[in-house]
Amino acid sequence: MRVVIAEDLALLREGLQRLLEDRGFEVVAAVGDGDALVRAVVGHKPDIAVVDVRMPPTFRDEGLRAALVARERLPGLAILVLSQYVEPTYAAELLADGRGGAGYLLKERVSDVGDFVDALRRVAGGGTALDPEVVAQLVAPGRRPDGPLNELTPRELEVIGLMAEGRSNKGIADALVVTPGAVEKHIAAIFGKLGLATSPADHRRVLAVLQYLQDG
Amino acid sequence: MRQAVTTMSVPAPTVPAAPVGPAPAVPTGAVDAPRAPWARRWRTRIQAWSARTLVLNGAVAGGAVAICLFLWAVTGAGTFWPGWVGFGFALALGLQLALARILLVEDGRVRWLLLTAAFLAADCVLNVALWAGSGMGTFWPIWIVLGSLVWLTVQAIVAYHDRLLPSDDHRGLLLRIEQLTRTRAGAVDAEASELNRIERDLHDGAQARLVSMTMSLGLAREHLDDDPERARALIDEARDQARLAIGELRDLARGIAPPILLDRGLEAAVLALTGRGPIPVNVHTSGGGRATEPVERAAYFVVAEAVANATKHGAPTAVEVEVRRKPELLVVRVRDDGRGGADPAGSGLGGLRQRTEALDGELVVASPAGGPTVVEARFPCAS
Repeated sequence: MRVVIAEDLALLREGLQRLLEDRGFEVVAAVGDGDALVRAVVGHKPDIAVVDVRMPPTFRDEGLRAALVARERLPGLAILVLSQYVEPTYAAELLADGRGGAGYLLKERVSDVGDFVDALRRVAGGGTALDPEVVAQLVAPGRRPDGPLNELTPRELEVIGLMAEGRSNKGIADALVVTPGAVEKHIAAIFGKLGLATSPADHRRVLAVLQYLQDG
Repeated sequence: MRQAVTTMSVPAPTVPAAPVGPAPAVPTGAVDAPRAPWARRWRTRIQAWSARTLVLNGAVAGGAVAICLFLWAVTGAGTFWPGWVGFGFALALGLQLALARILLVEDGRVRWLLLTAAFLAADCVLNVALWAGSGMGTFWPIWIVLGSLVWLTVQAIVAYHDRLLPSDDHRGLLLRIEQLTRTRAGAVDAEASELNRIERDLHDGAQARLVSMTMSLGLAREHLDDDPERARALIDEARDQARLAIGELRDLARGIAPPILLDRGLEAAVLALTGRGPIPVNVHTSGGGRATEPVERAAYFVVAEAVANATKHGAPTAVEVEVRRKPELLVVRVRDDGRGGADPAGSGLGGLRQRTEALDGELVVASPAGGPTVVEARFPCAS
């Protein structure tokens, strides 16, 4: 799998490159700012771009903006944003156009190499990976005192959180140590309580859940 | 002033105390004006004139006294009347010398005061001399001396009344100094306690975790060969410590300024902030542009704190946030329909007031018992 890395801190850029190459990915370019990212994506046509949010010259959100520009030039480009902080607004923007896999994770998730590589593959395959911290902010208890989220059982809240992270039924079942059948039952119950139409595609399902959570 | 020069400085030996009359009014405004060309010419003329006439007048006086001494001697040297002639000339010459110097004084108010003082002094000297010459007795000239002092004091007070009683501009400046002194102290306090908190958080949090991490890694290295299982557990432990440290550093950074505020400005940060709480928050924004970073940050924390207070204590059903920008002003306003009774001097709102005032802003809190609570901060923006 071919990867472009955009990260301005050399220490992290090299660390990430080493880690990905160690796990068998081909890093075709590792760049340090947004313009270089767009050029690298257009030139190398990678399967996925791994992008930091804050980069030169203004150190605001040019990484995110450049990634969205790159996806316009190369439709279907999968983007995994790695950041030192989570901002649900940015996650929403990343997922908004719905064309191609999208992920938004804290940088330290990389330390759990197995999980990180899974998330990378999922996003490259058109899926979603959302950091548990983003999800936690969206499904925070008491966020809407009388909303339908409060009708969910604790187990169902866990399931919707894992769904929002972008995990498959099997991934949820593994995480909760239950059978895939039990997960399916929980999902049906959740969608019923929230009044959402079930969708067979994981990605669409995640979007429906996120849309619901954001609109609260 | 020309008038004063011509009439008062001509030596008049017989009537040295003539000017003791109504004091001239003190035209402070006129004499304080910057020197015009005519004033420079006048000054040069005084200097030339006083040098010439002083020599001439001295010679005339010396001659007159010598003639009187001669007449006194040839008429039998009785009562020593030429002493009076000499005294008269001396007084007049002294006065002339003083005037020649005083008229060159730049500051108009000082010049008028010195002129008055010179004539009053001449008057006092004359009267003391008369008292001495008339056989002494009760020292009646004391009344003239005291009267002269009162006169001089009154004139000084009139001349300098604007310095004794501050004008409106003056009072405005004094109030501003007082306000700046107070708000600067507040800003320094707020910054000091903020730095203390950050230092403590770093010391007890991330720093301690990183230390613990190096210990775990060091121990893991020792056991790599003899107990790989133990080494693996220690490495996992180190990784957990690192993650916790990262989380604590992130929280610390967010407490200084949330990333989205720096990335996208106040409106975006307020919208992101209000999307998270349990109570619906409506945000209205108007106007455009960005203020300076310190102002945006302070405005953000006013909104964050006021919204947090509302949801924590006020039990409102709705919170309205308004961000209004004008070219010269940034206003943030948080209104909730909760039970009110917030203490404007409490630690939370007090801290916000310090932050706001340090930027020349103004924080207004209205929270009657029963609600609603309105917190409004206004920041001036340099345009």
